[in-house]
Amino acid sequence: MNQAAGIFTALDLLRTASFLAGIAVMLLAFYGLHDPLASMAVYGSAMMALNQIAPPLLLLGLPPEWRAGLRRTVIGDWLFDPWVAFSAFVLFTIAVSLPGIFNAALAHAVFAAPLGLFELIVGLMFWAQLLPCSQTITPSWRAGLYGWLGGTPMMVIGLVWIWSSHVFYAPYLNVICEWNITPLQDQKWAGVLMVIFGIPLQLRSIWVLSEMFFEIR
Amino acid sequence: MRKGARWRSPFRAVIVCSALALGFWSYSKFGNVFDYAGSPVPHRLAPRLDLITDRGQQFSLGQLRGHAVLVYFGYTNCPDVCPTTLADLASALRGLGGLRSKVDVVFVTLDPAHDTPPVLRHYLTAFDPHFIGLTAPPAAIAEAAKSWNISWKRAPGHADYIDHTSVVALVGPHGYLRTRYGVAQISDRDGVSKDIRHVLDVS
Repeated sequence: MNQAAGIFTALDLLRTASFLAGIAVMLLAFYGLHDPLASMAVYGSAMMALNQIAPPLLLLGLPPEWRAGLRRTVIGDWLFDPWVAFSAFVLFTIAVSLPGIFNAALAHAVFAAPLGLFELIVGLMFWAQLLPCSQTITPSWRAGLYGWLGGTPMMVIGLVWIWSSHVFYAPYLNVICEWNITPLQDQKWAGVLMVIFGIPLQLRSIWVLSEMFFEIR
Repeated sequence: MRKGARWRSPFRAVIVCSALALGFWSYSKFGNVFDYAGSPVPHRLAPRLDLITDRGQQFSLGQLRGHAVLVYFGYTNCPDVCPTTLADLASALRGLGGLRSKVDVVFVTLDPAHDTPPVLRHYLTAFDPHFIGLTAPPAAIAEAAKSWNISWKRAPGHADYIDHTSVVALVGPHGYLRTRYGVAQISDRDGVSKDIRHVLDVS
């Protein structure tokens, strides 16, 4: 029995489940962004879910021919260009995650934008380079290196948040009492969560990178 | 490979990153001229605060026209953020010298059942005897908190504790909202003092 017969295969079911899970993650994350008592850790988790969890689930939920066709339009050709995806992803990660290093006005600019949507878009652009059918980098192990390099700033920023002795997000912390933690503790927890949310990208990158050994053999 | 195709992707990346950076820079340069240490707020009249003072008198924000007013919602059983914020405010006001008499701090309780006027008066005196405590029936407090965009709820598992937005709003002498301070901004004593002077000078 197959699709031609009008019946879903197990793979189709998995794909559908993946897509629905991606949508669910998106909705939960957008809900988290609008919680008025959310801490930085909750806010950061929602952002990371949009940037690192929803994109692979949504992409894997698309039929392979759709994923392969991501670059067929003019906009798609730009958005899913590996260089564009890499630079936009890294620039956006740094600009959003360390507004304290810029002036306050720039931080306001970053936070005034529909940040969650941008997180989702750059996440989709970047993850597309690491998944079958949408990946355009050859040989495959280079895509692994690409993913590892692109994900490194995110992990470094997570570690900066964990180890920093001062708060980067002063203008955006209005609540500390949800869990009775200080802004600095809140930032540290946000760093821990950022590192955890970054692990799937690291694992996927290592997996793709390891294909180098199979290709050599 | 076609001539030039090799450089097409890096060229695109430069264009996209330049556009992103230019967008952020343009916004910070032209779209957000803001002279306060606090965060921006919409330019509008401050919401009403028709409540009861800790001395049992009727209060409205209009009574303080001509003064800079710092408005904060909290409760006296608060274990951390409220006392810290009030101590920071008291410290910032001490640095104002002669201008101190033109500045008021208004503390609105989120726990009117516990924070009776005498409780409020005793609590605030420990920080600064000139601070004004406000209370009212719960429905009036809820309405005031809503109009000031303060979210709050009883902490799960701790009946005495309230999770709440911790924001100090600075209201100018003409009753307009000027800026607001989150928990990590209010400790910037010099920044708060400077903002108050600014509000009193330019208004």
